[in-house]
This record gives sequence, C-alpha cells and structure tokens, in this order.
Amino acid sequence: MIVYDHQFNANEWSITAGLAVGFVIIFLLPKRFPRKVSWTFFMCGVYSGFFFDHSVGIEPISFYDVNDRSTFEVFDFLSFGTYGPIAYLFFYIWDFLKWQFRMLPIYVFSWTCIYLGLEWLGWSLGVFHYQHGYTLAYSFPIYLITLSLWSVLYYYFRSLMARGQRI
Amino acid sequence: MAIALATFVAWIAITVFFLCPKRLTPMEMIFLFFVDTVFELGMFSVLHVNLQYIEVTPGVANSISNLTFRLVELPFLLVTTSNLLLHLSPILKWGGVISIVLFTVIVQQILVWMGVLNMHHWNVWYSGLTVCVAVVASRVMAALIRSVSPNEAV
Repeated sequence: MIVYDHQFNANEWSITAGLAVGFVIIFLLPKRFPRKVSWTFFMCGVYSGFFFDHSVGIEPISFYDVNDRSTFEVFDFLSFGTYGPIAYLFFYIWDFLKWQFRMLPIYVFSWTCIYLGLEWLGWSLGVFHYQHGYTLAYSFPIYLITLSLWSVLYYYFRSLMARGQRI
Repeated sequence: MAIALATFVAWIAITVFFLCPKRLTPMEMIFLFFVDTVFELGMFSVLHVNLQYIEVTPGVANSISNLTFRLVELPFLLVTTSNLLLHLSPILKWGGVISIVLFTVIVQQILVWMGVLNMHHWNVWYSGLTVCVAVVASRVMAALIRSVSPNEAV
C-alpha cells in the first residue's frame, strides 16, 4: 500500500468544495428535466468515474491512485460524487443551448477540455497520483469517448420523450 | 479461456435481461444499472483492495474476466432481479431471483476454480450473501426511482 499523505489537506478540501459547489449549482439552476432523468444524468457521471477508476485505476496495472492512499478511503467514494454535478451540467447546458446536432462534436470537445482542466487541477491538488507513465494526455481520448456516449444517452432520452413513451 | 467464459456468461446475462418481462421504464433501468454497478463495485473494491479477502490473480486476462463479470454481468442481472421482483407472479418473482443469485454464485465459484479469483477468509456463502445484499439494494433503489413522479422537474 502506498501512502501519499496523512493530513486533511488540499485534496480533501477540494473534494468537499467541489461537492458543495456542484450541489448548490444543481439546486439553483432552473428545472429542465423530469426528476428521474436528472437523477439518471447525475448517476451517469458517478458511474463513469467508478467505471474508469476500476478499469484503469486498479490491477493489473494501476495507472493512478486517488487521494491519500492506494487503497480505498471515504474520500475516494466522495470524489466520485463530484463527477455527478459536472455530468448533469454537461446535459443541462446542451439541452439549454438547443444547438443543432452537427455542433455536438464541438460541444463534446469543449467539455473534454473542461474535464482535462479539472483533472489537471485534481492532479495538482493531490487528488490523483499518476503511475506507470500515465499522463493527462491519456485521459483525452477517454473523455472524448465517454462524453460521446453520454450524448447517445441524451438523444435516447429525447427520443423517448418525442415518442411520448413513459420514462 | 477465462475471458471467453466471462464474455459468454456476460452474454447470457444480457440475453436474460432482454428476455425478462419488464416492469421498469427505460430511464429507471438505466439509472438502476448505474447505481447497481457503483454499489457492487464499491463493495468489491473494499473486499479486494482494502481487506484483501478476494484477490484477482495478476494478469491481463484475469483482470478483464473479473471486470466483465463486475461491470457487465452483475449489473444486468441485478436490473433483471429488480424487474422480476415487481412481478405479481410469485413463481416468476422468487424463482427468477433465486435462479439469478445461484447463477451468479456459481459463476463466481467457477472463476475461483479457474484461478481468476483467490478467496482469503472468504467463501461461497459470503459471495451468496453479498449478491443478496446487492439484490436488496437494487430493489430499494428501484422503489426510490419509481416513487419519483415523472413530471416533477429538477
């Protein structure tokens, strides 16, 4: 087990602040989606964080550790919660902008840049600890693919609404 | 061989999911899939990384087999159990859920026999218990998401 630090410091504070700001933004924003859909969009972010942390971030080659130790701790689970509000915002803003479908690649690319910026911030604050030659550049295709898949979920939701199907 | 087996089993899970009569709406099932994965994977991570009760044998094939089991098979089967538990027919409901729990435990045991997983201070009964806990958690989350009015906006 690798221990990076023992203190409640920058990484824990940034996760706490991220969660607080994220939830405040969600509650302050005017309502746009049915509640079930909002929860699903929120969980989409948490799920993606979990998915990659358990595929890229653990054995056989753990490319990164999260927070103070290589084992799991409470703040690791809380950190996945910060993905939820960001995912919600991704769906919310796309729905709000009402851009044409052909603008989607630009939108996904813009959000990929935002995610890379946030990951860089996380790395600087000690939330992420890269290993085995992993760098921020490897996250670039991961975000592009993940956000593209989220867009598929959004259009699936839209198609259900358009068909008047029960959601 | 382990990858082939895990993929085959995952495909069986997907087939069962598609064939089972649905009681949840598409968005509810997607929500449950996400929640079930997070819950099950969270539980497994603590058992694997922190407590080291279950160990995945080092190797890419073993790791992929285990991930296929955790990220595909189990979530699909858990969503299926939540659908089945909403059925009125007790035979379909309990017969289906018990079969799925047994199937999952047997697959986990096969992964142990194939050397993909190593159990320390852990046995097949505990595996069965964790699957049952995951089934209950999934059903609770299904009740929660169903209780939300579809027209209520957030």
